Amino acid sequence: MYLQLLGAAVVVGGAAALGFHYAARESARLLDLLELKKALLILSSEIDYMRTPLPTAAANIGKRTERWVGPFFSQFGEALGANDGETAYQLWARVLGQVDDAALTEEDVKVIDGFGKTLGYLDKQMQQNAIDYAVRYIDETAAALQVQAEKSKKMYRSLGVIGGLFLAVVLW
Amino acid sequence: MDISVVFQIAAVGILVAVLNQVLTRAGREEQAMITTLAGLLVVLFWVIRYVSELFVEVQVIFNL
Repeated sequence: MYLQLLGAAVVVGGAAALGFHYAARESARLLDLLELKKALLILSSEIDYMRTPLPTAAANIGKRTERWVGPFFSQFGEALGANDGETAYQLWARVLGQVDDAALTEEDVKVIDGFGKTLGYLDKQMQQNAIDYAVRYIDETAAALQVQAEKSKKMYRSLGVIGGLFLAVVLW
Repeated sequence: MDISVVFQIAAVGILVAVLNQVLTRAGREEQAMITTLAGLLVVLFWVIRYVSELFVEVQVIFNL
């Protein structure tokens, strides 16, 4: 009997933890996107005012940003510095593929990947346009997320707890 | 018949009702319906034994 109770408690606790994890992920995505926006704005200034070469710019951004964005740009800068004939996009895609601690959706990754395709292509203006486009995507997504985040967080939390209780009752 | 199954069914009913509310409020009507359906199936799975017992009983009583 006590063992059964213990098992039920573990099931409920586990499901609740899962719910809280997803709730935390919801705000993590927003923070991750905003950090990427910061990085893109720095890149825009680096191109506009300093005309820094891409490897140095990426390294600088890596130092100035946090979360997944910092390591990502640092690695990208290093990869560009040690380049052996690959295009900037190939390196970008490879480093992006190695990122595993970002709470991004498939669509986010697609947009970031698409941005990589414009790196080092044509002129300064073209690069600025690509940055503007990516920043606009982030702004729109972030606005939608902020409205939705509170609702979703509450939902994930209650879903976790109630789902756990449900499972415990079914398995009793 | 084990009485605890009645309490289990009641608990599932309450939890499914709450889950339904939570999902509907979050604008996920489809998932809410799927949850309700899942609850119904679980309960049906539990009571199907007793339903079949009932039919056998009726057959025996009326010599069918």
